[in-house]
Amino acid sequence: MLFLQSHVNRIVKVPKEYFWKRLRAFDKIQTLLPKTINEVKIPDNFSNSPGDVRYVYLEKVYQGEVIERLDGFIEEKYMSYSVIDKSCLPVENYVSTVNIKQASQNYTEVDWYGHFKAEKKHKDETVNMFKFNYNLICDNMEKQFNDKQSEG
Amino acid sequence: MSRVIFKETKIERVVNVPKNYFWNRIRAFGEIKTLLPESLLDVKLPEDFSNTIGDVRSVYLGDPYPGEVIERLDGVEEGLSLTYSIVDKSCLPVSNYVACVNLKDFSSNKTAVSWCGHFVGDGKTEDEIVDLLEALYNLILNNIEDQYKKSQS
Repeated sequence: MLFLQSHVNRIVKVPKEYFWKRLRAFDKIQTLLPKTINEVKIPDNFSNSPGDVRYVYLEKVYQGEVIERLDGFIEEKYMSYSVIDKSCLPVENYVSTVNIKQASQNYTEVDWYGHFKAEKKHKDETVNMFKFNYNLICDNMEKQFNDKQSEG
Repeated sequence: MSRVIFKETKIERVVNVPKNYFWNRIRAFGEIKTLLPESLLDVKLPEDFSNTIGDVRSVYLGDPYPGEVIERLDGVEEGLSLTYSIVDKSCLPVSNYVACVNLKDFSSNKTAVSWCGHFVGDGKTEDEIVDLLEALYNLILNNIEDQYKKSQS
């Protein structure tokens, strides 16, 4: 198994407060990846606090369940979450952190990291898959923000 | 939904050192033995260790769980938060252990610290592990206070 990292650094064309609210709503991940995630289940005692988990069901590429846990956050700056237990992904010890800062009034700079272990044969596909999903979340957030602005 | 034993270990306290001092001590990921000199037998670092996120440290514990724990620095929000996790197999009967240390200025010479660890237990020892981890977090904070005092005198 190799220690691997996926990292995306980019400007997202939404205000920092908007980005944070969308990211921080840990149970609403399906709204950010509507075509990738088949379903999300939330335990009855979910309170969107560190330690809470979401059960994400994937349909494409890797089908099955991924249990993700919110591990910690600093309001409007930083969030960390991890994949726990067995999952349908060919990785272990996956921990992700997201740092955000205001780039301008309507733009946010995002550093999204994932660290994990995977077999050498899965190296490229897993590193690229996480990067792709981080970017897709950012793209979807921009699109949804724009749609909301045009509706208003 | 799967049946998994989720556990949390958490301490919140005010530590009698300035926030910058506290931050510099925990941010030195390779120097953990200086914070737990009597609890850790050894710490080994890879040759390419650079104290950046993704780096690992191999920590060697004595009783009650002797053996190796590999910890990885997962993320940092400068001066405010640090996330690390246990990777691979370890001598502790836990899996998916991730800890976050959050800091706030309490006053010019005091820091409010929240140290929170989450893990999946084995169904037998998790309460003991919660006590063990909380004792280690508190010991680190006590040692930082003692070492800071000595550095000032």
